[in-house]
Amino acid sequence: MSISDIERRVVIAPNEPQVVIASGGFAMNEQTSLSSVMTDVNKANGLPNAHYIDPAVFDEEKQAVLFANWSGIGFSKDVPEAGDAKPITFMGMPLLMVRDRDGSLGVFQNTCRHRGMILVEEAQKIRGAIRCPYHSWCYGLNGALRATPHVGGPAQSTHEDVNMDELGLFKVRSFVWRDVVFVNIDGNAAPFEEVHKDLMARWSEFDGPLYHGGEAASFQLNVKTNWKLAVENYCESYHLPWVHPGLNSYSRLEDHYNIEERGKYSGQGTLVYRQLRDEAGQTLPDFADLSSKWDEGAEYIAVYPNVLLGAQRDHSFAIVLEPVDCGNTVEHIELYYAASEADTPECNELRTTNAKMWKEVFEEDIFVVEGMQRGRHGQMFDGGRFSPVMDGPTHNFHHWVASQISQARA
Amino acid sequence: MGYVAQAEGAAPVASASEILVTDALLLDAALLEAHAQGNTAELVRLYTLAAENALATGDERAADFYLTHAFIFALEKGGPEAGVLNIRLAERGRMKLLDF
Repeated sequence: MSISDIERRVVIAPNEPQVVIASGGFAMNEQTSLSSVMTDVNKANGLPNAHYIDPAVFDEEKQAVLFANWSGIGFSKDVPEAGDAKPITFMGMPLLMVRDRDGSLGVFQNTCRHRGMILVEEAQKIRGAIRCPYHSWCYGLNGALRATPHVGGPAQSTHEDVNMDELGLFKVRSFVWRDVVFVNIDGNAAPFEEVHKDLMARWSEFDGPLYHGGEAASFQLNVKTNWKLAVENYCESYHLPWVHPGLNSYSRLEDHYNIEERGKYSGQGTLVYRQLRDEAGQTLPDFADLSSKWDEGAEYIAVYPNVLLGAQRDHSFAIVLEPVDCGNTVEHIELYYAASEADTPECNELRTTNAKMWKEVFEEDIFVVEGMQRGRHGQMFDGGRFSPVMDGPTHNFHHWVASQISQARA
Repeated sequence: MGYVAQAEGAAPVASASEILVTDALLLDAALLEAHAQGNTAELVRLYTLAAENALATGDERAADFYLTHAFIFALEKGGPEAGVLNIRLAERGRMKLLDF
C-alpha cells in the first residue's frame, strides 16, 4: 500500500474532516479518521500512527481521553499521614495530593489563586497551612483560603472585594481504588464507582486491606513509547510465549483468557497462576476469604485510560502510566501484599524476589513497546490488522479511545 | 525597625533572644538568617519580638506589619501561636477571625 492509498482510505470515511498532508509528505491529519478503528475486531485497524507520534493528537487525547475520564496520577500510600503533600505534574497539569487531618485524600490544582504561582515544589509534611512562597497567601489542608496578608494594603489582610470563601484551591475530583489515586480533571465524567462498577464488582473479593511491599516494591521504568502502547501490550496474552518465554514451562497460551468489556476495560487472565515459594516451601500470605477461582487464577486488567492492575491470591500490583509526551512514558509500578512487612518479616526475602521477578517481566516488555513506537513512524503502517481471536482486548481499548475522541469531536 | 533599647547598666545579656530583643541590627540579621534557613518557628518568634518592639515605640502600623508576618509563619508551622496571633490581629481590625 502506498501513502496515497492510505490517504485515499482515510478520506473516504463519511462525515469526517479531510486529511491534510504535512510538509515532507507525511500524512498528518488535522483530525484522524477513526471509523476503521470502531468496527468489529475481525475487520478493524488499530489507531492511526498520528495517535502515537503527532503532538497535536497527543494534546487532543490529553483532553478527550485523559482529562475527560478517570486517570491514575499516583498512589495513596505516598501521602500516608495528615499533612503529607505530594506535588504531581500530570500531562503538564500541576496537581497536589494532600492528606487532610480527617484522613481523607484531596487533590488540588497546585496553583495559587492569587498570581498562579506553584504552591508546593516537592513532597513534604504540611504542619499548619500551605503557604504560597510568592505573597504568602495560605491554604488549609482542605484547600480553603486561610490568609491573604497585606491584600488590603500594608498590614491589612482583608479587602471587601477579596472574598476568601470563594478563593480556595481548585479541587480536582478524585477517587482512591486499590491504592491508586484516580482523578477526573475536567469534572464531567460520571462518578468513578459508576464508571467502574462492573470492574469493582469483579474484583470485590480483593477489597481487603493492601499493604505496600516497601522500598523494593516501588520502581519506575522510563520507556520510549506512547502511553497507549504500554496499555495495549499489557492487555493481551498473545505476546507472552514470545516475549516472556520463561512462562512457557508452566503457563501456556491456552491457559490464558481474554477479558474484554466493551466501553469499560480489558485485559487477560490466567488459569495457572503459580505462587512464588522459597527454598523452604514458604509462600506469601493470601488475601483473606478468596474463592477457589483465585487458587490458580489471576487477572491483569487495564483500567482505562492509563492504569494497569494485577490481582493474584497473594499479591497485587498497580501501574500508573505517566504520559510524558508522544513518545515517552514513565511507568510507576507498586506492589502490594496481604500482610505488612512489620507483621511478616519472615516474608521479606520472598517479597524482594517477587518484586525482582516482576521488574524483569516488565523490562522484557520494553523492547516491544519501544519497537512498536518506532514502527509507527513507518508512514505506510495503517494501524495494523488484529488477530480476531487474540487481540480482542487491545481492540477493545482502541475502540474505547476512539469513542472518547469521537465524542469530544462531536 | 523599632526596638527596645537596653537599659544602661543592665546585667549582661544571657541568651540569644535577649540580645535580639535589645538590638535592632541583630534582630534584622537574625530574621534574615531565619528566612535563609526556612526556620519557621524562629520567624514566628522574631517577628513577634519585632512587633512588641514596635508597639513599645508606639509604631502601631509597624507592629501590625510584624504581627501579620508572625501570624503567617505561625499558620504555616501549625501550633497554638497562630490562633493567638490571629485573635490579636482580628481585634486590631487587620484580618478576620479564623477557626482553629
